[in-house]
Amino acid sequence: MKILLVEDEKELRDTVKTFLMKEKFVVECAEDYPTAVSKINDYDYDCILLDIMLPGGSGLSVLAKLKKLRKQDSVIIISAKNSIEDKVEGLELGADDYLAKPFHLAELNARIKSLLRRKKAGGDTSIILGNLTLYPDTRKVTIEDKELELNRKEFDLLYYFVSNPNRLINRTALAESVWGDHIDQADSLDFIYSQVKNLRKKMKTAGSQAEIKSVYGLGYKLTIETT
Amino acid sequence: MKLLRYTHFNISLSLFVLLSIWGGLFYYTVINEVMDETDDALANYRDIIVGKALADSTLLNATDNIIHSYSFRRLTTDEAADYKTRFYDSTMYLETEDEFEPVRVMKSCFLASDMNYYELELRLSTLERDDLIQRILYYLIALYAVLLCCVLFSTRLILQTIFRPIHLLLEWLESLTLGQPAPYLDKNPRIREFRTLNRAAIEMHERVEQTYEEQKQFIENASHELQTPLAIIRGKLELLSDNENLTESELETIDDIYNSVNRAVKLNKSLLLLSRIQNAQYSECSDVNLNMHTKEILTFLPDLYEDKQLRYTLNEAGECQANMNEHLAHILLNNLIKNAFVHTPEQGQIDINITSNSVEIVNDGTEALDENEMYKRFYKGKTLHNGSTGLGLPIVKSICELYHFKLQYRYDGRHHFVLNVVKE
Repeated sequence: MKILLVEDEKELRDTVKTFLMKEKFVVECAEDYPTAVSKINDYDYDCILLDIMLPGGSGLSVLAKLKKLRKQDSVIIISAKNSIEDKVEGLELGADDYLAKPFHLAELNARIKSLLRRKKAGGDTSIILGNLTLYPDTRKVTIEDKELELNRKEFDLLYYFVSNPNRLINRTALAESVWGDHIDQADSLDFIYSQVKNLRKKMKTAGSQAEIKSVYGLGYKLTIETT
Repeated sequence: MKLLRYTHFNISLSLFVLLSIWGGLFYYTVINEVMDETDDALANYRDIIVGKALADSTLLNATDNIIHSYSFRRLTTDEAADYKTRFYDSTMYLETEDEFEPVRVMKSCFLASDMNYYELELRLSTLERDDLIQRILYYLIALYAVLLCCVLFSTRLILQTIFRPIHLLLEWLESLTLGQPAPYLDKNPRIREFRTLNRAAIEMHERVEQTYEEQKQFIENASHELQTPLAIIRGKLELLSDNENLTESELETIDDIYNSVNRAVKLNKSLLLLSRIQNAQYSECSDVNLNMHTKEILTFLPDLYEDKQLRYTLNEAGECQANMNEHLAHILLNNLIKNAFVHTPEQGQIDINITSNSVEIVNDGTEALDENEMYKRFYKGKTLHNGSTGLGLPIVKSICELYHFKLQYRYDGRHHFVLNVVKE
């Protein structure tokens, strides 16, 4: 899987690159507008992460060029501006997703994977982890072909875990992925414990091979038992 | 009282008094002159009649009643000694008309040719004179009224013209809203003082606007510029925490840093949101169903505070529709409801009442909030609430101001926040 990361800030570029390489992606970088344009001209990517404010031009015009070339690359806009207009304009130009800085890397990972799955499978977007299968489109989860009853929040939590298996997920990132805007930093995140506890119990009862483990102090990790 | 009415009232009052005095004086001078005229005429007649009587003593026994009647009377020497000529008004019976007529009487004495003192009583009809006086009075009153009216009317017109620039300036000042272009104001009124005033006002407004703009820009730029470093810190921490070889205490430290970064991120987002609302960057409007948003918020928020074992009810007496930006509607309700959840003591009660044009949020609380302080940025209240941004209510207030919604607060043992979405 080849990803083009268009971002002018070196530190952020390196961080995201390191992270994505751990996920076994092939990552190429472009730090300004001309580089980005020449790269999309010369190569095809599975996914392009596109910053809007670039030296030498706007990320939106990179996107416009890409669409003009009739390329099928998926595009996620990552912008510091986080304004509705940008988001709308980007999506209208044909971007697949929009992520505002500063984002959680796990969130970025989940979005990229979701895009790639949709593109690759030609309809089949399910994620399989051991005996657990999750269908994002129909919001269903099965374990050993038996459906697991989950409420909306439990499904969202599990979806996030499943998108980031074997990775330590911070409580804050997890809470924000489901409760989003409703949380601010003043809130104690203790409620996450009971939410995850319920989910874990349901999975265990159904005999799931994937298991959510607590990591002291920080959050959780989804691991798959290989028997 | 309006300046125009006040000035006009004062001018009118002084004119009224002055004109009245002037009218009175004028009337009495004229009347005196007329009276004098009659008396002068009487004196003239006396001279003529006395002259005739001296020449022809038979006249002393005659009387005339035609134009001016007169009669003679012989005086004793005692009477004649301290005789004084007198004028007075009287009436006289006229047989021809069969009525009493006003007359002016002159009594004087003279020494006739027979060396006797005679008193001559001259009577002159004052019918015409009284008529004249009456006319003078009428005309004077009419003149007075017309003059007063004209003066009052014209001063009012003139004052109105003079005060027009002031009114325009006042209207202009009242119509000013920070962050919005100022309406037109004439920079060159004819009168110098007004010109100075207008120019000073315009200049002042421009300065305030510029400061406001710069401050807004600063907040927005600062928030923007902070996003990238925050993203880097957060990303690096995430990468770091993925490391398998970390000890528990290292993980704990990372978590602390992570939480602090998140706090900065939230604060930054709130500031940016606030400045965007005040910049009116959320221009897209639609009819938003507040009931729906409230219900949606209530599916998420209570999770966050399950420790506090709060009870909450939602009473929908009507569908509340508001014409506003959907995103802002969500933030508005979320902040208000969240506020209630955060500040209600444990095991407290929260009631949300929605009617067709208002949303009321009632929650338990021990003490009334300070209304002057609570909408200020970074106001944290008296209770220690660790890590609160202090931007929740300012954001609520900005949204309400943007859409001219009325937000009322009262305390009667419980906090009541009433959001009225009917535009003022």
